[in-house]
Amino acid sequence: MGMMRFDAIATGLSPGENPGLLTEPPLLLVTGASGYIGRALVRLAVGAGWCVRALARSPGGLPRIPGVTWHPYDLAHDPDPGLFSGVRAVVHLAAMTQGRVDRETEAREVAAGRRLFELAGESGARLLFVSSQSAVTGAESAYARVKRTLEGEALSRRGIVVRPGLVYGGGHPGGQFGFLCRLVATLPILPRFVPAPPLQPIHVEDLCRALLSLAAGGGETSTSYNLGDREGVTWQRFLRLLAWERFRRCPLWLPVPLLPLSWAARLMDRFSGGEGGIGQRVQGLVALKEMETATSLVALELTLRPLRSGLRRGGGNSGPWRRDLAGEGYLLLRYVAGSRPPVGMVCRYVRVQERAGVREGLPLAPVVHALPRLLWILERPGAARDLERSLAIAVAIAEASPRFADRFLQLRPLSPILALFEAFVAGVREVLARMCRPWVGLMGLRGAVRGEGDG
Amino acid sequence: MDDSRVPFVVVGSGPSGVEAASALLDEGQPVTLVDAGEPPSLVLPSAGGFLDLRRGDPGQWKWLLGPDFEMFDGMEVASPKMRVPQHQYVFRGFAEANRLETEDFSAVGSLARGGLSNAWGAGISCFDAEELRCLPVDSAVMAAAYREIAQRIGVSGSDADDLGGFHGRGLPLQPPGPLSPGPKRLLGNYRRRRDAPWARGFALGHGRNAVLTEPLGGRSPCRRLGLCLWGCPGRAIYAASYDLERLTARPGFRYLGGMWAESLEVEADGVALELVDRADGSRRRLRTSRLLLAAGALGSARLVMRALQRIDRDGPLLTSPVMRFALFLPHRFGAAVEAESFNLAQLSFAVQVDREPVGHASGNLFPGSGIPVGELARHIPMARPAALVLSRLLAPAILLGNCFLPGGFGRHRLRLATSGALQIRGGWESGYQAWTEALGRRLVRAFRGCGGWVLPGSVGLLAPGEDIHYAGTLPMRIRPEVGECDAEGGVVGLPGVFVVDAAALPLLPGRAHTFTAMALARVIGRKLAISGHPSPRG
Repeated sequence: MGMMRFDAIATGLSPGENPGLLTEPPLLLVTGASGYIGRALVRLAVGAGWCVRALARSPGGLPRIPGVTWHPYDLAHDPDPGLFSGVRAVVHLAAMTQGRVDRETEAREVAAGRRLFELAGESGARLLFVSSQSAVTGAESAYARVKRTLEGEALSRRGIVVRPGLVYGGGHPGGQFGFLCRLVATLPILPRFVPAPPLQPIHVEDLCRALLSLAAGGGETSTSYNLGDREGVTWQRFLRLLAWERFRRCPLWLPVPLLPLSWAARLMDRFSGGEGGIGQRVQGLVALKEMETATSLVALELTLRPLRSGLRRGGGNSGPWRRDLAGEGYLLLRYVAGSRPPVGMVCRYVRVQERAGVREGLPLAPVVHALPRLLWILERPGAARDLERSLAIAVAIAEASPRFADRFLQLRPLSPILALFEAFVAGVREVLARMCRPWVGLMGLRGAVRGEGDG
Repeated sequence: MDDSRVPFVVVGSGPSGVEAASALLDEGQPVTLVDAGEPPSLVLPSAGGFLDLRRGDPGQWKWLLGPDFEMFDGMEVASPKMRVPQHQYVFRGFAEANRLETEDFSAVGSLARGGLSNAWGAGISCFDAEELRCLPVDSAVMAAAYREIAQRIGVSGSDADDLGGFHGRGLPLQPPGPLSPGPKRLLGNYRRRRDAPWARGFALGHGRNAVLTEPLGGRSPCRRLGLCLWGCPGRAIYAASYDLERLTARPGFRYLGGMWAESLEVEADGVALELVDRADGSRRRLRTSRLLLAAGALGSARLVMRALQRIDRDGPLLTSPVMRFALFLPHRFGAAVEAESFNLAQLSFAVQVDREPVGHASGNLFPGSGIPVGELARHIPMARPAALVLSRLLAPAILLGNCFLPGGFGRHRLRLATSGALQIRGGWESGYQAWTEALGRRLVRAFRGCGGWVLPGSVGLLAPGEDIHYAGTLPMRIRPEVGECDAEGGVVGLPGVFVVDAAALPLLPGRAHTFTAMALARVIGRKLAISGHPSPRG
């Protein structure tokens, strides 16, 4: 085991406690460590100075990471109590209700979780149970039932329950996010569910930071924390951003009524035996309701990264806004000036926005990036304040350059007829754009700028 | 640190302040002038005319937007003038220094050397006989002051047209600058048709501006560079800072810049002024026999209210309501932008109104190509590409107009709160809206008669305070009460304190008032200088 960088906050050291005097980094035990969230948690924990005992069903093929010891563990069997010796915190991620399960399997998972919690309590470790948004809503899937039961068990043992919204991002998409990535990457037409289920995404790394903070002593025991986007996004907006930011695709949309689809999917599952599979996923979407996350985010001092940058393959938190703003500036300058703006002009746009403290680009739909002229339809008096402001900035920057002087100044006289004709053409285009505005929804562009009103 | 007593101290270096100081020096009296002295930011355009620079200067964004993009600090404000980077220093810090708290009022002032004259429209107009009667000052003395000031600062315009009498005859005027084709035709149409019914009670003529058309005192005449909004490199447009530079070379003049006048206190043998050095926060006390306040209607009022302990009591504040509009000249549609242009008021107009005691409103017409096209486009309710096409075509074909209404409509209140904040609550009298709509219709008819069309949707009223014509906070009266001024500008209740700026004007007619405030400052300054050092009045 190599030397670890010590992060005093991550390890929850008391004020005044000198990290240099400690000889052993703290130990974190993670179940389900080979899963989507588990892998990210293990990696980040090591980076924050933890040693990790990673429990996974088949650890053999997993990468060797200094500071991490892999141990085989299956929910069907009791874990070795020795694994809990010296552990500072236990994070229970493992679940086996993600595939087709029956009632017996469900009961076994509950029992396994209960046993884990007992062992964590006996060893004096802090217990964190990662539940799910679906546990809040009273959903009837096996997954939700197991989560709800284990939440109660964890809280009764002074554990901490974390309910993330839709976990997304990272380099190895899994879980629901992995399913959505496969969907977006393969289908040219995506369903636009009606009504649109509300999603409250949280980037996997943001979730793991919160878990490490709780493991290190933050938060309160016997408490549940709901972690996800405060305002939520619609299913369609999430998929649209995922398609563009991760795959550079502009899918078409097919309205699909959600409820009948859920019934059909359940019937399919029933015929195939047991619960789980696609029926469970659709059911989960139907039952999904918003959860209040602001209180938890504030309590943990957690700021979620912007969705668009989080969805990119890099997905990092290190100044992606500049790239967003540059793309936006290029788009808006091209729109107002009628031709491609030089780099210097785009840089000025970014500087103006940064100077005003803007750290996230406008939620412009990918199709708008591909066809800037669509802004003609979307821009209208009383439109989104941010768009109005950004356009005013783009106009001022484009005007302050000799490159587009002829676009802003009438440098040569025109006969009145030609001038009238030019004004007439502009007027006709404006009229056509206004006529298209009521059809924005049908064109799938509603919310293409504001990111609202999808559905 | 205490100074020994100085005979005269002037607070404020705007047009009234330098005028009062100048009048005192002319009579051989030493003067100390104090101001907050915000220094100018010199981001002037490169050499050349506006059109040449716009076509060929790759660095134009620095003076159009500001090297640190200062232009975007004022995006919410109605007036394009407030967004000009070169003017940022003029307005900077005023609201914070005065701890302004406003409700339905947009308060603007200046801590800059030279005050608001660094960013003004340079409009010049004399109070007429009826208006001067409201001032407890001899009209003949005021007329002489008008002439002296016009001679010194340089005023161009015409005495011979229909507005000569409105703005005041008998001033030494430089000739008006040449008119652009659009204003020229508009004026020509008016002159041919002035006997028509629509012209009754309406007059159109050359603008009268504190802008040189001939060299004067080291300043160059207007070369029609078209850079009026961003700063004239030849100093053709008058600014009090130019006079301040001249004053510093005169014997007997001392300038204390960068000093914030926090308070004043009447003492047994004079007045003490408490100053705060804006650079390091240190304090000094300046003692004087006579303190002349020229800190602006708001600034002077704040000092007086604090000295009189008039806390949490409403006081008066006059402003000039302003109507703005765009006048389209059809024959100019499709015309190219002029290579040379003067972009302040080429024409001005006056309208008789049925309103006592002031019976008129007046305004000015500015070329539409004098402001960035983006400023026009933001007022056109279309998508940007269409709005920009129209703006580009319209800019050479429109004149942007403002119309100053009589100040009596305002129901603004000014108060110094216990917390030390200067609170302003704006409001108009009932019926104001209907009255202005009627005036608007008159203007539409009048300009149509001259061949111009007021663009639909372009007529609007500025919010209270956006006119930046403030007056009457410490009005002169024949029988003043405490907190008002007597015929010598002396503040009743504060012996040794005099008001020499627009705060002392008891009325605000529908015309530019700065010239009258300057004349008043000269008159009061001279009177005080000649009267020597009489014992303070109780």
